[in-house]
Amino acid sequence: MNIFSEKLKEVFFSVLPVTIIVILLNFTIVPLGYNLMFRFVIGAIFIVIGLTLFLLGVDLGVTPFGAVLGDEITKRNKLWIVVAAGLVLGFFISYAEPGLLILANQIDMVTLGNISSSSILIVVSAGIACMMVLGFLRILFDLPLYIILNVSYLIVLILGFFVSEEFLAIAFDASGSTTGVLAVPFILALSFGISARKKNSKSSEKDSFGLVAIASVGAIASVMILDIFSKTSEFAGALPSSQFENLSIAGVFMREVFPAIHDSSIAFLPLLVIYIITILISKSISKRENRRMIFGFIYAFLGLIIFFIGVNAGFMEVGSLIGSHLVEQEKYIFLISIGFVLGIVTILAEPAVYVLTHQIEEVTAGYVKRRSVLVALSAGVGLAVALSMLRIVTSDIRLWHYLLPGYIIAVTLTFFAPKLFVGIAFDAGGVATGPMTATFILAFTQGAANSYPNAELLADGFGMIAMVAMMPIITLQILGLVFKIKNRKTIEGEEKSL
Amino acid sequence: MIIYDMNVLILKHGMGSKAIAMAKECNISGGTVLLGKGTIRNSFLSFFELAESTKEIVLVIANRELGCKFLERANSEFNLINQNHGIAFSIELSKVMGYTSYKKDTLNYCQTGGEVMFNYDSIFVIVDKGKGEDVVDAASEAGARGATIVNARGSGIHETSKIFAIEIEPEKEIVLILTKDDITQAVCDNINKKMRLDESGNGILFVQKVNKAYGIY
Repeated sequence: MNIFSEKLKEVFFSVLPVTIIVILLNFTIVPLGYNLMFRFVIGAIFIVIGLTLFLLGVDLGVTPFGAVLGDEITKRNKLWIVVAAGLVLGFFISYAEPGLLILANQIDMVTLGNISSSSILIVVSAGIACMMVLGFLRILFDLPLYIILNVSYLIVLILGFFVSEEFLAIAFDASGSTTGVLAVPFILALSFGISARKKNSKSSEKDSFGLVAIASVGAIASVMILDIFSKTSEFAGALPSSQFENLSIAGVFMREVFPAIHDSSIAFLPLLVIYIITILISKSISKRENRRMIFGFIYAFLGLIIFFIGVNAGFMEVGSLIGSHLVEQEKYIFLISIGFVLGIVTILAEPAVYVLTHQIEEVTAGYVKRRSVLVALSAGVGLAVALSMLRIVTSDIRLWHYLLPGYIIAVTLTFFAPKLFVGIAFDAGGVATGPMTATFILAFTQGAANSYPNAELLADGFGMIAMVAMMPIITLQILGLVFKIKNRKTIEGEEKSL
Repeated sequence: MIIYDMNVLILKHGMGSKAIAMAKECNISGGTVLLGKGTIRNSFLSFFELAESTKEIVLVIANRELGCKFLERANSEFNLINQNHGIAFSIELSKVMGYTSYKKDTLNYCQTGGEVMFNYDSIFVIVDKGKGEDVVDAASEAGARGATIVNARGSGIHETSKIFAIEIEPEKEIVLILTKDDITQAVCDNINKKMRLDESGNGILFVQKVNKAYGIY
């Protein structure tokens, strides 16, 4: 077994559940038709191959590069380098995130051009850049993560009172969109690189996480501030839904090739530029490491393209069809429970989740098992999707009815949960909302919202991502509490037996 | 006099906990698992930078009687006879503290199974992060068959430093190589030459005798 076959096997088993569920649905409640089903299966194969290559590339290229970079930034021991590097990295990584671009365009359309997409891109990227610096400094000056998170969320809460309801959903969605498929592994590796050499290994462990979380808050706050200053009051009633043309199966996949290459190139460009600059400046990277990273980047790039093609051509339409079909049949119980199941299985195939769980295992030397993190994460996302479905079919529930108590619970838990898990949990919130959720589950949600007569597409269609970003924060901290209680028990048990 | 061994198992990723459970079933009080990566000898894969696999390294300290039982059992359950299923070996220890559970020991050496005793050496090399692969290359040049790399950190007297508010320790890699004792000297010499271990700050190397080994080809 080499690393390629190891990855292939793992990825296969993580994409398998969602495939099986959809095939089962096809033969029971939601007949998809021969053509769509066939496309879905081919899409799944594309995803397996693409994801394998991508994760391999992340392991060989992106993660080592992030770690080297984090190391290079800090070892000069100069504050201005850290601040400058944080600003530049934070800005360009989020500026190039395909998810943010899509979100910015949607906001542009929804606000009827009142807030242009370029202003969103710049403001959000700047917000993330500032928070990135804060995140760097936190590690270097040993500030506890939970204090920073509590203060930031307090600011978000205050801002939340002044923001229109539509924008509340958009702002929380933005946090999910910006921490996308490429940014997450890179940010995780960066903080790992900065904190790995800390002499106190307990704090080195804790500090490896939390940077994604801090960046996410930056996105939320900056969108909210943007809304407060622009005072938008008019909104478009609906999102223009994408047109599904009647193309042959091969035609659909061909159509997605160019956008996939385009998105992947944009996402990789800043990373490549930063890489070249680092190579020129740093002298400590050996030829061998260099060669390996370049291969890693190539793998990750090709993998991302294949992955995007698979998701867009194979999964999107299926998701939206399942959602609308269930609503049209008025099978609301089914809608909620299928939402729950889809949430559970889809998150397994999310690329960044993979990277995070592996990093957790590596940092804790296997003490926190991948499986237990995945269970908590899946449960959280499943609940989030189910609650979002509930919100669509019962028009009384507003988004803040979920978000406010949810975040109060999440923030309260930071005082009790082990600090390692606080970092992991808040990171997982950003991690859970990757390309699989943003396409497949989003299509499912919007399909359902479109078909339900009383649903407001804007408030209901957005907001799902916000839920997916929030629930894992709670479930993973609960997992942390379970670990804590279990550990205490075994220690007490041993003491008694002595 | 009770003889204690450190039993080392290098297994596929995910098998570590199983090995610890197995050790406990053999009445051994516990073990430690590390994550590492193993090398694969395949020029096609190594061109594409794919010639490695994730491994778990299990350290189990036990007296010789239990250790032998444990290794025998691991050998059969993990199928170490088949190539690439992992390796197991034990190193004699000269002193153990904190090991209390089982005082009786009737064996002085293991007769059954495994490769002939006193035929292998284990070489440990500790170098700066990123240089582990160079060590592996140097070792293979001199005839070693494979190696396992573990991430670690640590510092010599001249290395600990402070950046901002945190004290840091440089990252290291520990390379573990098993060789037949007739080539041990050549392998060590070559590593020493390539890594220039004689100069201070470039890393250290030490060799220990292995008294029992499974799964080496």
